[in-house]
Formats: sequence, structure tokens, C-alpha cells
Amino acid sequence: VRKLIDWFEERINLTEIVSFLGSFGIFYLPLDTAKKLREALRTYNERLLPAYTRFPQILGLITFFLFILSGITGVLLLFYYQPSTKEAFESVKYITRAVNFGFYVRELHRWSGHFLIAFLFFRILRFSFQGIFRKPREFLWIVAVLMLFLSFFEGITGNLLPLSQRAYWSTVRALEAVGSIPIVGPLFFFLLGGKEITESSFTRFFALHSVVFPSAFIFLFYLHFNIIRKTGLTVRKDRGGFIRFFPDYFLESIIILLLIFGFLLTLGIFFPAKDIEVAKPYFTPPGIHPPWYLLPLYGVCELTSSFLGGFLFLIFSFSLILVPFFVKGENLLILRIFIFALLLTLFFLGLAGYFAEVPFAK
Amino acid sequence: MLGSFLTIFLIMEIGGKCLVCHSEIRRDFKECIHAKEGIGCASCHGGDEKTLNEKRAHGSKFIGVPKRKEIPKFCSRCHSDPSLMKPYGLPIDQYALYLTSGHGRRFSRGDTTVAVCTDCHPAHQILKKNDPRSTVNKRNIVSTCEKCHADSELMEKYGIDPSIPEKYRKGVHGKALIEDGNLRSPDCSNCHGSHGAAPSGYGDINKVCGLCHPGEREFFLKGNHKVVLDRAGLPECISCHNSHLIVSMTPQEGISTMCRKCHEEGTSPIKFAMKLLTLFQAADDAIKEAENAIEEAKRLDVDVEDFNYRLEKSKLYLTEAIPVLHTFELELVETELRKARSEAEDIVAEVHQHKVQRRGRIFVLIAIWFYILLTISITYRFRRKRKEGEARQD
Repeated sequence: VRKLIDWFEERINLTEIVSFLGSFGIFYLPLDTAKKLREALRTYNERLLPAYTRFPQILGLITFFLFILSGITGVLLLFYYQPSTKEAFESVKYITRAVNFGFYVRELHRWSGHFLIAFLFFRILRFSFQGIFRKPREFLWIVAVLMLFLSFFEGITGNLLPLSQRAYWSTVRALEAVGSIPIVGPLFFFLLGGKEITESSFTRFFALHSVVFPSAFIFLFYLHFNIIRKTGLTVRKDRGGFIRFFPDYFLESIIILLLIFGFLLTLGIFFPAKDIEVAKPYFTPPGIHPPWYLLPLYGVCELTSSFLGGFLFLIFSFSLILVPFFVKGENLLILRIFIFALLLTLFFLGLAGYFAEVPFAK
Repeated sequence: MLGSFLTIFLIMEIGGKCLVCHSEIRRDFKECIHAKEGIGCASCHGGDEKTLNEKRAHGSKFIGVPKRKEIPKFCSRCHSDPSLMKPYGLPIDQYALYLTSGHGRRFSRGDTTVAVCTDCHPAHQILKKNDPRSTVNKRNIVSTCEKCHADSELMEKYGIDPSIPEKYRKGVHGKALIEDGNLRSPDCSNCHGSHGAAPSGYGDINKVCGLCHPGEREFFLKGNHKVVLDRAGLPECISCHNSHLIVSMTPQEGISTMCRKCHEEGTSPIKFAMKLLTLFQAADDAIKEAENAIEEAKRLDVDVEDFNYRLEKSKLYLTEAIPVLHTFELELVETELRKARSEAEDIVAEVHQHKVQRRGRIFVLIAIWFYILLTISITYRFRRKRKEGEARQD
């Protein structure tokens, strides 16, 4: 193997390739591209990482793994999925019933998507709790918030694709909720080419979900790791000593990856998707609500008016993006109390959205 | 004063001036189809309907109340006239038919107790057949016939069983028509005719029943029972099924009760019947099992649309086996029932497959977790060894 690597090394700069791939999240620090691959890796490994990059500070790592997992399973689904209103439901049925391991791939894709959104949210919570938006990490925060918003849209567009009765109507509610936000809603509808789910907009849902948003996601991940490399990791004495990238960090990552895989598969097997009926645009089933991450928005729209709710959320999201420029974050305790209050509000709004009276439901 | 004028005016509107005196029939006649089509009192009864003077009104060409023996002829004056009936799209053969009927034949022999036109069509309140209040509406025909045919005194004279209407009501046809309101179920007139009402001859019963049960008739004619029954002078369908008290039953109930009417226990026909019984029972059980399997599949969140469709198909095969049963040929019946059974058994097998698949998922899960835990334990051992090695180096 060493000879083979040498043979390649004479002809291609392997170090640079590995460094490039590594910049999407494998290495915290840049590799020395002038050196040969083995040597570069060895010198990289000699530099110690702060111990707090290990468990439990692994929300970033988990989101990254979830993204990779949903990416791989998404590509596998692409081989069988038919993105047209006539064939979508049948092809999903075919994937889950007839294709070998199709059921597992589909469930992994579904659950990794849900957890990606959840963990991106947890990460923002952690950032705000620990003040990781103060100089020089303003962009880290902004990228994290943008990723969360992007994951919402990824979720909304992906939610429709099975085109079952549940998928169709929860997407209708989701579009109602998103459409209430002043600038974002029209922009999203512009991308979809209309406010209704039709033959042509369905293809756009598919295109956005499978190409546009994932590409944006990859770019944001790249940006994220770029920022981490630039700002570096703070060494804090109260958080233990140092670890090596290999074997400590590397092996731990593999274990986490495996655990995530097993956990998602367990969920998928015990709580599979209930896409039994094909979508019927003229029959609204009772008890329909948008995807869970839109429930607070839906709740505030139901409680006040769709315009006011959307407007409030627009202000809220803009202020969330601009937090690093307004909040100095000198007193973290006040910030934490504020965040806790905010969380409670979101939770109750979500409850309101879940139990909102749906017209014609009865 | 004004009120009484108004009343007279209103009465005059409908039946000329006759109804001023003959007010007892005013309400009935107002609804009568004759009144609605502008056929007034004078059209049937003669006289002058434009005057209130009794003498003049009952004057020229006055007929009055027609005698009972004149009634059929009386009605046929118009109802057998093609030029008069054509605009209304009505048939003109009622009188001719009546004369061929049991009623009509006795009537022409001078028996006036038999039914004439007005016994079924009340003279002044003749309503259209599709009017629910009409005496000849499909739902009311049984009660109309019953008026005479359930009268034991009247029927005794002709030797007719007065319990026939009651039997009909208890039978499958009567229950379907009267209790369930199934208008496709036959009333008296569907089998016996209306104006040409007559009991069907023994050899003709298969034709009458075959009007609605063509499959049964076709297979019955192919089978061996037709010849035997005709030779013995027994009526065809009704030998087994009764004539008016036709009981609704499953093929299994039918086979186990009807055959014993003629065949003795232990003979080969009864053994044959038991074979048929087993076949039907097996098909029925398979369908029930498939129904249970579909319920189970619903609980497993499996799409049951296809299963439901195939279950219906299976039930259809079972239903199709019933006409075939009338040939009394084992092979033919078995072919149909085998189709029903295989369809139902396929459903059960497929649901079972789904169940196995679900169970298989748990095994996959266990295998994967086993693999994950194994990998974790190996990595931990690897790390520990490495750390020990590092410690020794230090």
C-alpha cells in the first residue's frame, strides 16, 4: 500500500486533495500541503487539540454527520425516485416495499433530516448560552443561523416529495406559514413558481430539495470550517488537557457516527413514515398541521393574524442573524435567562400551532 | 258571500260544475291523472258539466255510474284506442291482456267478483305508476293485490291459498322490497303479470325465475335435475326454493337443508351434497381468513387497496359459483370455488409476508446494533493498548 501511495504521490499532490476534502469538516486545522501525505498527517497529528472538542461538545460534529448521512441516503433515493406528481407516490411506495434496503434508506433519510434541523437548533442554543458570537466569531454565528433557516427550507421542500395525503396537506400548511413572512415568503414562492402545489412547482420542490439547497448547505459547511480554521480553538485551562487527532478524536468520531446511525435506524424501524394514501387535493384530512419546526410560526399566525405573525417572525429572524453586532455578551447570565424565556415562548407558540383549530377539519 | 263564490270558483276550476254537488270525490279527483290531463267528469260519465242545473247536467248522453260488469269495456273505450293513447305513450293492450288473465277469463264467464280495472286503479284517484301514493306503485302493489288475495272467504271460492301475500312478505323478495326498499326486487306483477295476471305453468317456472336469475336458469337447464323434475311432474325452481316464501340462505345452508327434501340420508346424492358443502365451506373460510388478514394489514400500516380489490374478486367468484351449483356437477362448481379460494389464500399469504418482513426489520436492527457495539468495544481496546504502549514509552 505504501508503494502504491508513493507511486501516486509522484504524479498527484495527494496532500492537497486530502486537505481540500478535509476542509469540509474532517480537520480542524489546515494541512501542510508542501509535505507528502503521510508526513503531513503525522505532523498534523503532533499538534494537540484542546480536550473539550471531545464529547459532549460534539453538536457540530453530529450535525455534520447527519448532513453526510442524509446526503448519501438522498443520492441512493434519487436512483429510484420519480419527481412527477403522477409517479412520485408510487415510486416512494416502490422504494419502501420492493427495493432492497429501500425502507431503511428512506427512513434514515427522513430521520436524519429531522435531527439535522433539531441539532442545528441545539447548536445555536449552545452558541448563545456560551456566547460564541463575540469577536472574532461573529460569522460563525451568522453561518449557524443561516444553516438553520436553510434546513427549514430543505425540510419543507423534502416534506412534499412522497406526495402522500399527509405530505401534501402538511406542505399546504407549511406554505401558508412561510407565505405569511413578508420578504421570505414571496421569494420562496418565486423559486417555486407559484403559491400552489402543481405539476410544475412539484418539480421545483424536487430541484430545490435535491440540488439547490444541498449545494448551499455544502457551501455553508465549507464556510463554517474555514472560519474555525481562521479563528482557531480557544485553549481553556479549566477544561482538561489536550488530545491527539488520532486516535482519540478520530476514533471517537467513528463511534459517534455509528451510534447516530444505529439510533436513527431504530427510530426508523419503530416509527416508520405513515404515507398510506396518495395526495387528494380536494379532500382535507382532519388534524393537519405544518412540520414541527414551523409550528411556532404557524401558532403566532393563528393567534394573531397571518400578516402580523409573519412580520414578527421576519423581525425575529433578522435580529437573530444580527445578534453578534448588537449583543456585546458581557453578562452571559442575563443572556441565558433571556434565551430561556425565548425558548418557552417558542414552545408555547408551537403548542398553539399544533392545537390550532383547522377549518373544515371536522 | 265572497268566500262561497270563491269556493265555487275554485271547484269549477277542476271538475266543471259537477263537483259542487259531488264534493265527496273532489279531493281525490283533484290529484287524478285524468283531471290533470283535462279529462273531466263528462268524458267518462257523460252529461253536461257546465251547468249547475241538475236536470240539464244529468241530461243528454248521461251514463252515470257504470255497472261492475261494464267497467273493463268502459275503460277500454279510450285505453284501447291507439290514436288517443299515443300522445301519452301508453300501451293499448291492457283490455286484451285482461281478457287472457285469470281475472278476465272468469269475468267473461260472468263472474263479477273478480278484479276489474277499478279494484286496482281507484276510479277517481288514478295516480301515475311512479307516484309513491299510487296503488300500482311498486311499493304498494303487494297491498293492492292483498286486498282480495288475503281475503280467505273470497279466495276459498277459487281454491287459492289466502296466505300467499303473507308468505311473499316473509320471503326474500318481499323482505328486500318492503323492508329494505330494494326496487329491483320483484313484486307480484313481475312474476305473474299485471293486466294479464295468471299463475305460470309448471314447465314455465324456470323461464319466469330466469328473467332475473338467468345464470341459475342456464346452468339448471344444463344439469340433470331439469329432466328428472319434469318427468316426475314436479315444478322446477320452486321444488327446492318454495314459491312465495322464498328463504334467503347461504349455499351451505341451502345444500344442507334442500337436498334432504327429496333425497334420503346415506344415499349417493347426499354424499355428493356433502362434498359440495365442504367445498363451499372451504371457500367461505378462506374469504373470512382473508378479511381478518386485511384487518391485520391495516394495523401494520400496509396499503390494503389492492387486497380489498382482490377480496371483492374472490367474493365474486364465490357468488359466481352459486349459479354453477345448479348444474350439480362437481367439476364445474369446484373450478369456480378454487378461483375464489386461491385469490383469498393469496391475500393471506401476502399479509403473512408483510408480517415476516416487519419481524425481519427487528433482526436487522439487532444485527446492526451488535455490529456497532462490537466496533466500539474493539476501538476502545485498541485505544487502551495504545495508551498502555505510550505509558511504557514514557
